Amino acid sequence: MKKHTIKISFLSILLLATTVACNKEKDQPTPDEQELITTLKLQLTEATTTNAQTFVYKVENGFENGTGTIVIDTLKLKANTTYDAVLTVLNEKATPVEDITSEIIEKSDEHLFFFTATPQSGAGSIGTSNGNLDSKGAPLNQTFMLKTATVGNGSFQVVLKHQPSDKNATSLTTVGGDTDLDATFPVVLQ
Amino acid sequence: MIRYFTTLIIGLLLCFVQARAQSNCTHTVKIQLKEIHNNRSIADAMIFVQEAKLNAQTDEDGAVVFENLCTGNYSIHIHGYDVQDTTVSLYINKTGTYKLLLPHAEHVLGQVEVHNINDGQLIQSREQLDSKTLRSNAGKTISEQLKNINGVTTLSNGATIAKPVIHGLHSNRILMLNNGIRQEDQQWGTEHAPNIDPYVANQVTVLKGAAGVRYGTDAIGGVVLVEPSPIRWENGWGGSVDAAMFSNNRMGVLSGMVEHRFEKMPSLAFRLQGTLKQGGNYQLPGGYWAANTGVREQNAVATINYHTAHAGMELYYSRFANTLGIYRGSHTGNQQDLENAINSDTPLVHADFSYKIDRPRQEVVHNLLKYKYHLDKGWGLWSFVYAFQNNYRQEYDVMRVDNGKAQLNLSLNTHTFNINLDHKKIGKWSGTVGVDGQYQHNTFKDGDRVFIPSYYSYAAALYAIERYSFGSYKLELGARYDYKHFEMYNPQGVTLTNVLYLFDYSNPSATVALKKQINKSWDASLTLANAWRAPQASELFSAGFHQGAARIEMGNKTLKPEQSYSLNLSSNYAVNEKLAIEATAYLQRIQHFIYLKPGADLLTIRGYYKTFDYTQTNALLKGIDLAASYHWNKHWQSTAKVSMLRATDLVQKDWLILMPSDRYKLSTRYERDINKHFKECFVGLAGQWVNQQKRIPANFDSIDYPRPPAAYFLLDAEAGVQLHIRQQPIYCSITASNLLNTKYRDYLDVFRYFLDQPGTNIALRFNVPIN
Repeated sequence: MKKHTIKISFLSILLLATTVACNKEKDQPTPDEQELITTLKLQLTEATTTNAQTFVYKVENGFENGTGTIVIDTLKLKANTTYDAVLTVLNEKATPVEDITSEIIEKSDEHLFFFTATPQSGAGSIGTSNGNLDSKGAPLNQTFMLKTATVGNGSFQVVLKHQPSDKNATSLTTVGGDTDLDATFPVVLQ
Repeated sequence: MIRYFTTLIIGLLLCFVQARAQSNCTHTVKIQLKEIHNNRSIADAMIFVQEAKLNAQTDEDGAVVFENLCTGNYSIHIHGYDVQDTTVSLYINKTGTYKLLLPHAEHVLGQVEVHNINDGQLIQSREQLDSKTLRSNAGKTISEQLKNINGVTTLSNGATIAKPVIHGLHSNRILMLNNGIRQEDQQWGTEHAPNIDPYVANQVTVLKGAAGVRYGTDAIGGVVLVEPSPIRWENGWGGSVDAAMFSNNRMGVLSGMVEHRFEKMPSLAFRLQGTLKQGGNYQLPGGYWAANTGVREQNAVATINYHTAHAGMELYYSRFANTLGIYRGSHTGNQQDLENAINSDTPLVHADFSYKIDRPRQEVVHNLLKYKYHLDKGWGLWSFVYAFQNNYRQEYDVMRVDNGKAQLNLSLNTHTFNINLDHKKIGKWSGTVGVDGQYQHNTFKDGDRVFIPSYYSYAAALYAIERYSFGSYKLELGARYDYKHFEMYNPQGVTLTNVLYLFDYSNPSATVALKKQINKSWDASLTLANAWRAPQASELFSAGFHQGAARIEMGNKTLKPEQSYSLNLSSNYAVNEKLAIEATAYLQRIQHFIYLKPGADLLTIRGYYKTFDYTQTNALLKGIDLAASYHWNKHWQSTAKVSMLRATDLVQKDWLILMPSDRYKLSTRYERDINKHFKECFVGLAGQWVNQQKRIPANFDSIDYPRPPAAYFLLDAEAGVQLHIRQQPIYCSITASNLLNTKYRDYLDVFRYFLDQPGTNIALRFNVPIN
């Protein structure tokens, strides 16, 4: 009986020792930030002209490395003017820079750019119209027309929603879905 | 269940030695335990008379005496070093001696007897779910079942994902032992439910309060022991079939077990068990369906058991695999989305009933392989245990472009070994000494989402627990020394380069306990215990979004281990033959208690997020669990339970966040045998009142929104019968939870922001033992 015990215990310890002593891989896996978005670009072309301007909203968090990079351009625009607007969404952390706009257009029925101007009307406000449509005829708003009001200051918020429940909603609280991007540009109309 | 009773029927010979007719409730009953083969007395076994709430330890002659017992059926539980864990049904109508012939533990070789040595005698506040309770809750998750224990609540993510909370502490502060093996399954996350199939269990025990000396680091809040029944010891085949159906999420569960002991080789036995489960979206009061909340589970267990007269071995393999849907609306983009969800009365994501499980979802597989060898030397019992566990956890997030892959593939491999000696009395001391070892490797796949670093950990420990009895007192002293080493590879910087961090922790812990048997019907025990817990990888290194709560949690590499010092006082008192009281009071101080402290808001591409930093404070937890049961007559019993907790942050001089509120439970049950075909027929009703948690930190509104949900009252009902058709018992029951379809939310449910708790759920259960 004693022999039996010793044998089994010895075998088990041996088994344990071999598993513990296995060559430890020192090259560890590298994680990846999933579907990262860093940047929204708003390109505005004054209607009937070729005067194009690009405004950048970029937040690249560093977490453990301080604040990272933050760029928020101010929309300095002419009052009472109509612009053609195009939105581009990028991951600038990737090399080469990844253009996410094409993915959004590919799954256009699952995405929506939603705009909120403050103030809603009057001096410093911005109006939007003629947004492009998704594959099912509902709004996508990746391209649209932007119309400035009279001289004044305000802000313009662009939110990219994923899987919104109501694409025709008039308020951000009822659009539903989840937010992939939320960018607020300061606005100066002059 | 039938294994209990076959044990009883075949293994137990009930001899009625002497009898004298007497009137009700005046019977003096002597129960004597004898070894079945050699008629040797079994000393130091614990005998618990369930109906009378009486317990006592057998003397040198294997005998105990209970006075003033009424005429009726009694369930007698027997635990002890020398005996198999057994429940005996005994009809008592006379004063006299009842001799029970039991198989000696070493002939049974089950996994249980070694636990009995440690747990059965460990002086600690404990509560058990016996096989009867487990059967009437079959189909629920292990955490849901543990809610039946006073002082235990759950931390949940909706109706399908839940983990136990013991006296306000959860996750890594609680240990779960699955068939004696410390469960290692990524238990640190709030949405990581324990990967244990409750159908495996024949008995679930909760040790309330710190039990670190015996069970190792992390057991600050308590220990949950999930134990299968001992394998059949009589020759031939046995088995059981279990089925359960639930109305709310149209869930079906089927579980089956077969076991066999070879006639030609009676020292060899095996058991196979399997469980299948499938449920769909669950329904809320008001008729809404919770989108994507289905569940699928497939579990299997195989055991081989071999024994000789004084030694034996067991090989045990279990596999747990499940797929859990997570409510689609709980993965929010930013704070605004979260607020929208909170402010909506109805679920923001609309759904119908479906069994389909989409993203977000979890797919988890947990494998456990255990080898145990034991040897009875007469003066003591040696055991050697080696176990390997592999936990593979995949999380599928909602994606812009679904590439079919999981965004997280965590793999946790754990090797544990234990050498333990339970020695019989040396002088006046009996006890346990042992060595524990653990090696662990946690890793993920290339390209996974940033979550926790991959790491290696090594741990070793030495422990000793000794007991000394004098008169009606029993003293227990325990000491342990642990050492733990971590190598963590944290991906950091813009390029996510792996940086190696080393951590070493070592710590002594100790326990002192004293138990006094004041008289036959009253005992009291006092436990002073100390336990510790090393910070986990997530607490040291997490840096990222928490999608459910729309916040960012930041780890802290400078965290020290938590140290817990606790005082636990518990008492069982059978006031008379009708009224029995169980009370536990506890006081626990945790130095360097790790928690999340709100920090500055952080701008991200998805807007501003609240950030939380892992920080330490000193915490004080105090509370009571009270239970009283009253037998109106031999059929009708009522039970009242109260559980209260006060948890404070001693540094901030404020309440601790996310602690369970006070709760009260009142239940009543009527049970009787109608005839030989309809036995143990019962109907019961239980009401539970859960207070609103108003003891919250002063800065609560800036950390969490909205305030803890309102108080609620729930009513549950049950009815059942044990059918006997030609000797074949069939257990059937029907239960209804949330009978009134009450609309409520619970503070410890992470989905309280998004969803109500489920509405009425009617369950139909069958259990057919086969012999």
